This record gives sequence, structure tokens and C-alpha cells, in this order.
Amino acid sequence: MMTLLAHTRRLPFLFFVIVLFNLTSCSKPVTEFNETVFTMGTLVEVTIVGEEDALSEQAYAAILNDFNYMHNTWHPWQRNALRRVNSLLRTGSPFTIAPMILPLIKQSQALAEQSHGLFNPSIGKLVQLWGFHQDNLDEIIDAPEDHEIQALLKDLPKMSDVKFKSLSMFGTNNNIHLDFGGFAKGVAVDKTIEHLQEFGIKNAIINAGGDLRAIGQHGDRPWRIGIRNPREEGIFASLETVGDESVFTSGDYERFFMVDDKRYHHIIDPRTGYPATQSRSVTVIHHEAAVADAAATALFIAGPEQWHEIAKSMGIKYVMLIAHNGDVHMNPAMAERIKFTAQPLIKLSKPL
Amino acid sequence: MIWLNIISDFKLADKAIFIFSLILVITSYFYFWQTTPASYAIIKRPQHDALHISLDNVKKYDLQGAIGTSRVEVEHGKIRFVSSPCQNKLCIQHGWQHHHGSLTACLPNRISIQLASVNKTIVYDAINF
Repeated sequence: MMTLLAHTRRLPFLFFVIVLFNLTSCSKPVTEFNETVFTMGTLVEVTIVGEEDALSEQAYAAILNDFNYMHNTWHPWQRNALRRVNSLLRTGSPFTIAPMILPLIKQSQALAEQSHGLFNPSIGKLVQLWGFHQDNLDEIIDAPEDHEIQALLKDLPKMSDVKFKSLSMFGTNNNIHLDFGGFAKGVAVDKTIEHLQEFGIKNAIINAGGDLRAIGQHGDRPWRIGIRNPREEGIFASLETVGDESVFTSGDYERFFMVDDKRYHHIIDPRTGYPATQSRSVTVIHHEAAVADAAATALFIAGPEQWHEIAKSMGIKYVMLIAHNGDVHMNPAMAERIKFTAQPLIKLSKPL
Repeated sequence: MIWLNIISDFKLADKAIFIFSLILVITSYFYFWQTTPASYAIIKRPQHDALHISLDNVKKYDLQGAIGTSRVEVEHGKIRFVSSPCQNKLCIQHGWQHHHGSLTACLPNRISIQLASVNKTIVYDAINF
């Protein structure tokens, strides 16, 4: 003890030196490329740091082509490859596998199973019945009749209704209509991040309508992500990404229409046929954007009672769910990473 | 207890350095982590070059978009959509935006507003929603 006390007078100086080291590391300037474009039906923001402008511009032009190609190929309601697949699936007859659609189907089948069917991109007809298949919701004047919803629920398709045999695929439910919706956005973010990496870019964010994947960091600090408040103006919480991570949020405020002062949002619960009612928003962090996207949708539908079970099944390690009554639910690992602007009451779950 | 012993062993100059360092850490946390107020907005719309407008004044702008005219209002460091031809009016519901890095948009009208700061020191690199 005496030896320790004898050295304690050096501590303030040591502390001061450490502080100075930390402060000097904060100020290194980095080159930043930032572009925003409308594609995939949303606003996509691309940020690249630490690269020559020429390389960033070349990479940006390439991924813009990627986005446009994927949008045109995967849009569920335009004349394209997915529309052809949808019409052939409903015939029940085998047809040649469409290579540009196959990875999307395979991945969503696995995720649908892990989510116990809560993530279900095969319910395009239900989405259409509600009118959410349109880019512009202006034309919706009323919610569908209950008997129309119940008629579709009687024989609701599942992703497992898409079967594969050798080089052919076929459908086993004539109500099937694949609508990958936001999931296609997640896959597109993954593909374009991979394309940026092929250009040698190590530090970038692709933010597609508020859902993003970040690789590397911003200069000598991590990427800082603000999470918007689902009900009020401004930032509700923030976090830093580590390495290569996606941050996806599903919320009832993203796409909706109002009828007689009642709000109908776009996240349809496949069990009821109606918009899910138990959550305001769900934020998920995961390495892959596509998985984060599917999980955010499934956990939103699962709500405060079931989210933990579904997250575990989908292999998700970081979740924050804001329930319909404003309660904030999250797992301990997520709580360690989130910084709130005003500390809410948090209901911590068991670890995932 | 050991920390109390250590601190009580400090001389006056030691305490001064310790407190100065502590203040430096706390202030730099706020300096580097808190949001920066925006000083200008970058407005993007179809078939037009990006428009940079200062947020220092009080002014309204009518912006021609894909489906009609959106009106945005600037008032002492903040900006918001006040009218837009879209049905949901989500852009209007976003309300005032005033932090560097904030992004608000009227998607049907294809008009986006990104806020930025001349003195860009602290940022959210992206906003998740």
C-alpha cells in the first residue's frame, strides 16, 4: 500500500497525458464523398470516406446502375422478371428457374421459416388488397372489407409453397404473389456494399430510406448513427457501428394511409390480415442488411410478447422494440450500445 | 477506499491537473458527441441542380417537384415542409429540422432536404428511421 501511495502523485500527470493523446486523435480530417439519389422507390444516400473523389464517383455510378437494375427486376407490380415468375407460380406448372430472382426466393424462404412465418413475402395479394403495392398511396380511399381479408386468409400462401425440382420451380398455392417489399431494399444494400468493396472501398455507408449498412469507420472514429423518434421530431437515440453492420428499423410511420382519422400502416400481420398493432417501431442491428430488414419486419409483427423468441430463432443479437404504448423493450447487449437523448424506461429482456 | 487514500495524497497542483483533465474530458465529450446546429440546407429535386440555401433568415421557398409544388419554410436555423401535393403529408409531419446531417424528404414529389453545417465538427453520419 505504501509503495502504491508513493506513486500516486504521478497519476494526475499520467491522466493528463492520456487525455491529450485522446484529444489529438479526434481532429484528423478525412475526405468525404456524399451523394443522394431517388431509387428503389426511396431516397438512397451514399457516403464514402478516405478515398480519392474519382474512385468514389466511379463506384457510385456503378452502384447506381445496380440499384436501378434491381429495382426494375424485383419490383413486384411492374412488367418484369418477378411479374413473370408470379404469374407462372400461380399456374402450378414447373418452369425454368429465373436466376435473378432465385437468390431472393432462397434467402427469404430461410428467413420466413426462422421467423415462424411472420416474415412472409408471399402475401402480395394481401398487400395489394390493402393498396400498399402502389408507390403512391394517394389513391387509397378506404380499408378493405373484412370478408375480403378473411377470404385470402383461408388459403394464405407461405414461402414454402414455392418448390424447386432440378432446374425448375413451381408453386403449390394459386394465391401466391411474391412481393419482397422492403426486403428487396435490404438485399440491394448488401449487393451494393459488396460492389463498393470490390472497388477497394473500405469505409462507406449506404442509407436506403433510413435503413443502412455501414462498413469500416469515419476516419479514426466509428460511424455514428442517429435513430429518429417514431412519434416526435428529432433524434431519439444513437449508436456506433462496429466493423460491418446494418441498422434497420421498421415502423408504423413509414407508409400508411388515413381513413376517418384511423391510420392503416403497411406492415401486415399474416396471421390476422390486418396491419400489426403491437409495435411502433423495431430497430435491429445485424451484419447482413437483408437479414436485418426481414427481422425488423418479423419482430414488429411479433410485438412485445413474442419478439425475443423470434429474434433468437432468426439469430439476431441486437433488438430495440418500441411498443404501441411507448414502452422500450431491448436485450442487454443492445442496451449497452444505445445512447438515448432522454433516458426512457427500458424493459430489459433476457440475453439473446 | 483506496481511491480516497490516493486522492487525499494529492498536492494542490496535482488536484488542479486532475480537475483540469476531467473538465477537458467532459467538455470534449459534449463538443464531439452532441449534434451540431445546421447552417444551410441542400435541396434536391427533379431536373434541377442542388440548391444550397442559408438557414440564417426567415423565408419561404416554392419548389417544383415531380407532382406539384412543395413549400418549405426557413426560420432562424431550421427548416420544414409547410405544404406539399403528396397525400400522406409525412414530409410536413416531420416538422422542423435543425441538426447537421438531418434528412427530410417528400418522396412522392421527389424533393429532399439535407441539413449541413459550415462548422462541421460533430455529426450523425446517417439517420436511421
